[in-house]
This record gives sequence, C-alpha cells and structure tokens, in this order.
Amino acid sequence: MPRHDVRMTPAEVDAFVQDEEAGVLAHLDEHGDPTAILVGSRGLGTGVALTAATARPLPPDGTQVCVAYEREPSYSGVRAALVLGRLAGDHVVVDRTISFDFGKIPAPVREDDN
Amino acid sequence: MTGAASRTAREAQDRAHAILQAGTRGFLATRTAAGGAVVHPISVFHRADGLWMNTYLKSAKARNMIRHPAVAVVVVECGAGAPRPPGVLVRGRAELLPEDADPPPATVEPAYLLPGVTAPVPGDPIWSLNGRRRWFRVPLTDVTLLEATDAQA
Repeated sequence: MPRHDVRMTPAEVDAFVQDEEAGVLAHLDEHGDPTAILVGSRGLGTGVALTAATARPLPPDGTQVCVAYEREPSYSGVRAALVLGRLAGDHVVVDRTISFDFGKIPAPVREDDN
Repeated sequence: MTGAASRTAREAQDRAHAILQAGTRGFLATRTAAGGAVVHPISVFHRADGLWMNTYLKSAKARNMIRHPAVAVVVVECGAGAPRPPGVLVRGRAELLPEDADPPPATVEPAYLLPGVTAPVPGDPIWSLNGRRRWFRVPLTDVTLLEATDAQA
C-alpha cells in the first residue's frame, strides 16, 4: 500500500490549533519521567494560551512541554497536531509542530466501482 | 485518612475505572531520545491487568517506550471533540508484550472505520501486520481521576 503524506501544512496546523479549546499537555516530572494533564487552550494568533482544566496545575515557566490537539470523528478522519515548545507563563513558545490528517488519505476504490 | 476521605478516594477510583472501562481514547506521553516529553493520541483498551496499546515497533511511541518505559497515559471519554475532563491519568512502566500476545476483545464500533482503511481493529489479524505492530501494556497501579475544577467543589 502506498504511503501518503498526511501532514498538515503550516497554515492548516495554525488554523487547527487556533480553533481548539482543549488538549493534553505532557512534560517531564522531577524524576525525568513523563506526566500529563488536561488543559484548556485559547488561540492567540501567533500561539496558544493554556489553562489547567483540572486541579493539576500547569508546570513551571520554562518547562519543555508538548500539547496534543486531536479531533476524531472516525479513525479515517482523525486530525491531530502536537505543539512542542516551552512554557512562558500560560503561553507556549513553539519550537516545532507534528501533525497528521488521515482525511488526506485517498478513499479506496472498491472493485464494484469499476 | 478519615473514613469520609477514604470513601471519597474510593469513589474517585471507582469513577476512574469506569472511565477506563468505557474509554478507548488515549493520549500517551513518553520521553524522547533528546530528553523531552511528547504526547501522541492512541487507542487504549482496558483489561484487568492494565491498559493495552498497539503501535508499530518502528514508531516514535514504541521506540520511546522501549528506551524509557516510564509513561503517562491520559484517557478521556470517547467523542469527536477536543479532549476534556473527566479523564484518567495512568502512570507506570510500559511493557512490550510478546508477538503472540492475545489482544483485547473488540470494542471499536465498525462504523468508526471506513472500508479499505487499514485501521487496527482488536481481534483482527492486521493488529500484528506480521509482527510490525506490537502490544504494550501499562499496569493500573497509579491511577488518578482528572475532574474539571468546578466538579471538585
């Protein structure tokens, strides 16, 4: 089966992340092990501002974080963006993003379509 | 711990396990080779012995778990929208299971998938893809209920 490029374009990532109101934030704890919290998110035009969605607070300033945003109407329609960067207050200073949009995979041609 | 606090803690654990049993929508946080944290969406399946997850051995998720087995998994209720509370945080050491590990029973609705898409459905041989996909298991020894702030008042 051919591999398809399912990455979003930078503009698509920006639009997707700006629209999302919640995500999952991961960071390393004091032992160097990963942990994660649920966060609220608000687009700022050039980045995102986060709030803790539960009693677990955001990690301290300067912490390297990754925030996952995802929509999954179906497996074939999953869209996700991972935003990696550092926390500065409630903002993420973005280093890079990872994204995928399974909707970019062409629908299969069924034999009875031919 | 007082009797009331003990009851509250037990109720929170019961709610957490109810979410784990009903939910397959997970977010797996791992430590990268560069020493940072990354979190990926992943389907998770609850069993008595832990959370089961299936992924390609060559994936970043798998490589990270093999190199540094300590992981965190956030599980939320299934739904098309953004992940919101309530959820559950599971922390522990991910174990790479043998190639012939018996996968969890199917819990994914067929309507979730489209024809011809090689999505991993529990119980389907494509879970394995000739050993290219493998199961990982995280024990349920460190489980925390994540409730919305206003739900804790």
